[in-house]
Order: sequence, then C-alpha cells, then structure tokens
Amino acid sequence: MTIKLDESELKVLIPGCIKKERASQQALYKYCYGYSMGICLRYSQNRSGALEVLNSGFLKVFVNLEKYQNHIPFKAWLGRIMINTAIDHYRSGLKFTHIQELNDEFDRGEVPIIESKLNYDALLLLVQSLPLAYRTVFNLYAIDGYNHPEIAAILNINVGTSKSNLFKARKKLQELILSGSYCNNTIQKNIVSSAFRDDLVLKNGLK
Amino acid sequence: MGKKLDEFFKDGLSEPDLQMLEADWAAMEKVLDKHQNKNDLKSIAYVWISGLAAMLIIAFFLVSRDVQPTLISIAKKKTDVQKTITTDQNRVASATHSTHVEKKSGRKTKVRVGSGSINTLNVNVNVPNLIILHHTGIASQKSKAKELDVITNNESSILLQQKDLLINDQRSAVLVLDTVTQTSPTLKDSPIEKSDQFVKADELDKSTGSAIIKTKYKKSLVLSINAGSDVNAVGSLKKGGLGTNAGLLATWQVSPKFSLTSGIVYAKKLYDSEYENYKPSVPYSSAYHPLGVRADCRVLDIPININYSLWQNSKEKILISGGASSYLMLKERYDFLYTGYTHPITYYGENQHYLGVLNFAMAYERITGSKTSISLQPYLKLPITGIGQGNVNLISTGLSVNFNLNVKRK
Repeated sequence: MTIKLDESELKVLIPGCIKKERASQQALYKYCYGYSMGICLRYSQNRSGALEVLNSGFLKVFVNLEKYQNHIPFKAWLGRIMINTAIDHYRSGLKFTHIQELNDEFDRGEVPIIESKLNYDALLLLVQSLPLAYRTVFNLYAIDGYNHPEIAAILNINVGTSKSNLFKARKKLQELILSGSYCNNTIQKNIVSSAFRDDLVLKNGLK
Repeated sequence: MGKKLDEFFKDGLSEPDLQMLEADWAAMEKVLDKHQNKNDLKSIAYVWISGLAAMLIIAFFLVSRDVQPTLISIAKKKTDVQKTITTDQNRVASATHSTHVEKKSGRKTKVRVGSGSINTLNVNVNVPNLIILHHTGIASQKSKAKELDVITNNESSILLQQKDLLINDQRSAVLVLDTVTQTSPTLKDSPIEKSDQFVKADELDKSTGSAIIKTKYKKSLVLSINAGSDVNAVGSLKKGGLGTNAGLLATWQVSPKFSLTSGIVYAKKLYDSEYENYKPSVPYSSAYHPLGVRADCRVLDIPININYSLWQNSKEKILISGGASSYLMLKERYDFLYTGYTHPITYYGENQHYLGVLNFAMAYERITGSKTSISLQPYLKLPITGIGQGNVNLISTGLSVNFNLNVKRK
C-alpha cells in the first residue's frame, strides 16, 4: 500500500505511538508498510533480510517519534530512517554478506504474472542479485537520489569507489537482463525471456 | 544509457503495492516487547545500582571517618570490682569491692601504653582487684606511647597483659593489671580511652589471673514492625502498580555476621497486565479475549531470609539479605478490560505459593537506643512460580522501613 497518510491521521497515530499504545503502533506500521518494505527489499538480498531491516527501522521510528518535527514530511523522515537502517546492516555485514547471489530464491514466493507486479518483482530480483556493495551504491544513487560525495560519506568510501561501484552495478544489471540468468525459476525465466526482457532491451537500447 | 537504466529501475521499484503480512507484524511485536523488557531491566538495574552506590558511599563515609573511641560496656556483675580512673595528675584510683577508697603509695612500675590521658594508676592490692583499660578504636591509628605509672601499695606484683581482641571488628587492647606477677610488656597501637571511663571483665581466669572478655557479639532476638511501598509488575514496570505492605518480623542473630529473619507481612499488590500474560490453569472459554487485566491482590507474604552483615560498628550496620517468600493469596480481584466495559472476577484463598518468590535486599540500620534501631531496606522480589489465578510473572521492587526492638540479649 502506498503511504498516503494525511495530517489528521498522523496527528492521531503519532501521539498514541509516543505513549507506546500497541494499537497505534500497529496502525502506523500497517500504513507505512508498503513504502518501508519497498526500501528494505531493495537494499536486502532476500525477504527475511528485508524484514529484519524493516523491523529494526520501525523500532527506531517508534523510539524516536517524539523527536519528529512536523515541518519535515513524515514520508521523508521515515524513508531516511529505513535507508539508514539498511546502511547500518550493510556496515555490520549482517546477513548481507556476499553469497551466491543468483541461486538464492527462497522467500521470494511465486512470481505473479500481472505485468506491473511482474515488473516490480523482476526488477527487485535483478537488484537483489547484485553484490552487496554494488547494490547499496546503486540504490542510493539511482533510486534514492544521493550523489557520490554523499554516498562516499555514508558508506565511508571514497568518491572514486562510489562511482566505480555504480558503473559495475549498471554493467552487472545489463548482463543479467540480457542473459536472463538471474531467473532461477522456469516460470520466471520464460516470462522474462519473452516480452519483458525484450521490452527492456528495446526501451533501453541494451545489448 | 546509464541514466536511462537508473530511471527504469527507479520507476519500477518506487512505491510498490505491498500488503502487510500478519507474520511481519508479529515479528515486530516481538522486537517491541524485547526492547521494552530491556528498558525495564535497565530501570531495575539503575535503581539497584543507585541504591548499591548510595550504600557503598554511606559505608565508605562511615568507615573512613574518625571514629571516636567508644567503650564497650560490659554487663556489671555484683562481684566485679569497679575502678574509676581520672585524668588528674594526682589521680586516685578508687578500687574497692564495694564502697571505700584506699589511697596508698607503693612501688612504682613503669608501663608503656598507648596515648591516653592516664598518667598514674594507684592500685589497691589489699583486695582482689582487676583493672582493665579497654578501648575500641581503629587499630591503624598510631598512638604515641606514654608511660603509665602503676603504683602499688605493697610488694605485690602486677601482671600486665596485652590482648588484641576483635570486638565489633575493631581491634582493641586490654590492659590488665593483676596482683600475680610482674611484667612490663609494651603495648603497641593501643590508644587508651579517656580515663574517666572504664570497662570490666566479664570473668576472671583465676589460674592465670587474666581477664576474660566474653563473647564478641550479642546473641539477640529482634522484633520489627515493617512498612513499605513497592511497584508490582508483570512484564513491564511501566504497567506496574504501586502497592503497600506492613507486617511483623523476627530476626535471630546466630553468629557475629549472620542472622535469620522471618515473619508475616500483609501486602497489597496492584498491577496491570496484557491478557496474553494471564494464563490460568483452566483457560477461559470465550470467543472474545479482553484487552488487558487489572489486578488487585491481597497477599500474606511469609519470608525466610538470611542476612549478612557487610559492615557495622556500635551505631550502624549495613547488611545484605537473600531468601524466599511464600505468598498466600488471600483475595484476588481481576478486572478484565474489554472495549467499553469491564468484567470483574474475585477469588478468595484459592492460591498459595510456598517459597515461590525469591527475595533480595540490602539494609542500612541505625541504632537509636540501647535496644532499638531503625532500618531502611530496598528490596526485589522475583517469582519462581506463576503467581495468582493467572500464573503471572509478578515482580515487586520497593523500599521498606523497619522499626526494630531487641527483646533478648545475652
């Protein structure tokens, strides 16, 4: 569910969450789940890892909610916490170690055949297939809008490394799209190898 | 091309339509509960560490300050000889069995003693007499030696003995004068009390002529009136309720350091609990579970504790205690909270938990009179069985005040 909290709902939920009312916490969690989980899935290698980041992030949200200032959009504040939590996990290397990125298909469930969802799931698979360092830089730059100096500061790397990782990420994504080898599931492979992949190639001039 | 790829992924991955799974929220609840428990443990730890730090500061202050020498008063016996020593240069020691005073000159014997105000001591040797100059103080205090002129009124000899005794954990020196033999030992580090004070031996060892100082501690039975207040909680102290308690305790001193306490305390235990923490032996068969439970329990707490004296002097004492309590649940009232209404259920005398609660405490005791004292005691009670009708994990922590009366001293 796309986060569409309006001010009146937030005014009710936030004070309840500050008082540690479980019902308010659950309501806020539910409202913000889609947006937050989307971020966590992009930075994680699989769903279980994403859930861990999500719940760690929400714990920070609930603990620090009394510090939230109304002049910042809640969505931006929430998104920043989720990204920071994902980066923390990257730094600690917890469950985000470099393992067999192409063969890990648990927690993914079935691939839906609805095209919009297919696009999402397939794109997510591609991103999750990247090595940890490439995936993190790609998410921060391409999707979350950070520039290289900011990424370098966040990840404690130099700007050159950030640019290099982005380049390698893009290259890897292209290779994965063109080869279709990221799809370990026959259904996925068949679907992607038909219209979607060709569409990607056509639209983006990938070769 | 790179930018196009970025935009393609950005468009495809932003704002996904993901539905919350109940299992994900369940996992989040566990995270929240664990965080809450950690905070509660931290709160309890802070209270105890603060209390312990305060106790240690008090103990340090008490131990390190200058302790004015005090004398141990030993019970008088009718047959004991009483001596009075003054600070005057022309001091006269009145030494008699009963009432008369004799002042005679005789052979002078030099005896080195610790610093003090005694200069000469006249001893009447015509009657059996025993003079003990007994002083309690910190043994590390260095004192300048002085000479004590012991003047006897005849040719009788004087026995001087030095004894280092531990009385109330403080080293003492005993200067014994008797009319048996003559020696002149050097007494080291034996500050002498003001000469107008005195002590007497409990007994005389007639074979050696030495004084016997009796037992180093007083066996005693102390009765206490106990009153206190505590926080009672299940799971989270933030949902805890403030309770009160009052009762009678008896403490038997079994050794210089150890004592045993038992008694009976009536306690009012109030707390709130999530319904999931309320687990009766026979679960309620209802389609609707309450949102929570509010409890009001009246309990007889019967403790059995062992106390250990960490530090003490004649005026103050610091102890630690450990033991177990039995909870007899006299009355349990539970208000089950639903949306819009409350359903109360009351139980009478249905649950007893013998030695089902562990007790931990520290105490600071201040002597207020020859037989009375007052003590402050922070404590913690942790259950080892489920408590009450709901078999809840009921934790209590608080502070009690005891008014103590020593009813039996030997």
